Amino acid sequence: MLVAPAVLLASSCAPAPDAPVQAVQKEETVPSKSWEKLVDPDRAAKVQVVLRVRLLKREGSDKMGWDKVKLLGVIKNESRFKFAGEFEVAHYSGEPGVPDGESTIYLEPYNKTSPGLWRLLGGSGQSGASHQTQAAGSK
Amino acid sequence: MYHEDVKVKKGETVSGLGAEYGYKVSEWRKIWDDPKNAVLVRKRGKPEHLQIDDVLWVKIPWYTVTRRLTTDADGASFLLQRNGEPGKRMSWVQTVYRHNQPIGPNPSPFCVDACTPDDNLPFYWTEDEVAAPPPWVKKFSGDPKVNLSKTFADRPSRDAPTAAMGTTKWRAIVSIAVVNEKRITVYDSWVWGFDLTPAGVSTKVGPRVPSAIERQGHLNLLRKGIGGWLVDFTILGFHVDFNLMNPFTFSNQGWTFRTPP
Repeated sequence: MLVAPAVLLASSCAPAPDAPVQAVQKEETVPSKSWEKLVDPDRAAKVQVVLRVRLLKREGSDKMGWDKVKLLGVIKNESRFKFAGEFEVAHYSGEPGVPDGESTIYLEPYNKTSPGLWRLLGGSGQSGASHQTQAAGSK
Repeated sequence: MYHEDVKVKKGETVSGLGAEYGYKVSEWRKIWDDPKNAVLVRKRGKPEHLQIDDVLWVKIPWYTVTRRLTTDADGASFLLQRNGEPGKRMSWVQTVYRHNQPIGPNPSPFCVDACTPDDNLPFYWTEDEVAAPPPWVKKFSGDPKVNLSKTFADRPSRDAPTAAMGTTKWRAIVSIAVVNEKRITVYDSWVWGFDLTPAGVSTKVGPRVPSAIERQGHLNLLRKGIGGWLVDFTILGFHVDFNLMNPFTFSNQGWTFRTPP
């Protein structure tokens, strides 16, 4: 028997292009994108996706472990997949996952058939993460 | 110990089939001279005269020789290794009960490991992993040339459960898996796992031989296990994810699972 697919719809909410610019915008801090340079080019060249993330939770492991992260920025994305604000990343049970705090992660497909599932390069935080920084006050 | 009834296909040889079931190529006589093949030997005379669709009986004598289960701070680690040689048709399967802490995209407490499928096959190791074993398994086994046809390794873990959840009881059954086309024979099975209390105290469980009921549950889970996939596309400016768990269980895909006859 076929199982009915669960469908998730997601859309971006960009402002209308002709919306008036409000004065308050001038007072906003320009977001720092210094993390864009926190990249190991050799590792980045091996993967489709490089992201800056903050670790939210280590869920544990079976054969594979899963870490929940918050997306801080996209450094490289050559996949067709659009990452949500929070998502899970896999690693081998015997390997470290996403480091504490903020880090740059290098992602490869989790399997050959699931475009939405990703794992750290080599299945490990050792090869799949770099430039760890402990963000003060981060959650 | 039992025998696999292997139907010969074009290009296959006694030594080649033996190598796929864990024998050295030079050990082809152990198969050819097996009394179960006496009729075939009389009929064909020499191994070179083997014909397509002949049935060759291959004795499967391998068993686990290493069973190393250790308690970790947040779970347990298990190394299981069998004797014999590597072989393409010798693998491992594991089913898991994740109790009150299922994790990852697959929310089911019961699963065939990898619990979120990392390929569409029922085996523990993917073909890519067999070709290039993960570095942690090399270190864990102490063998830089570890072969995953002969070695199973796992290191499950969890956060300490809340008091309301109660102790997490993570359990698995792992078996040697012998592949004959789409029939998988599982044997030398081991129950293992860990208990993790709300205070964060982990205790290993097992390894022990499964009961008849546990063995049956292991087979049933394998039959109901799933490969999985996701597809996504963009239509009218909307990004659409179809999160499909593969509706075809391993059983529906044609895989059969049994214990040795």
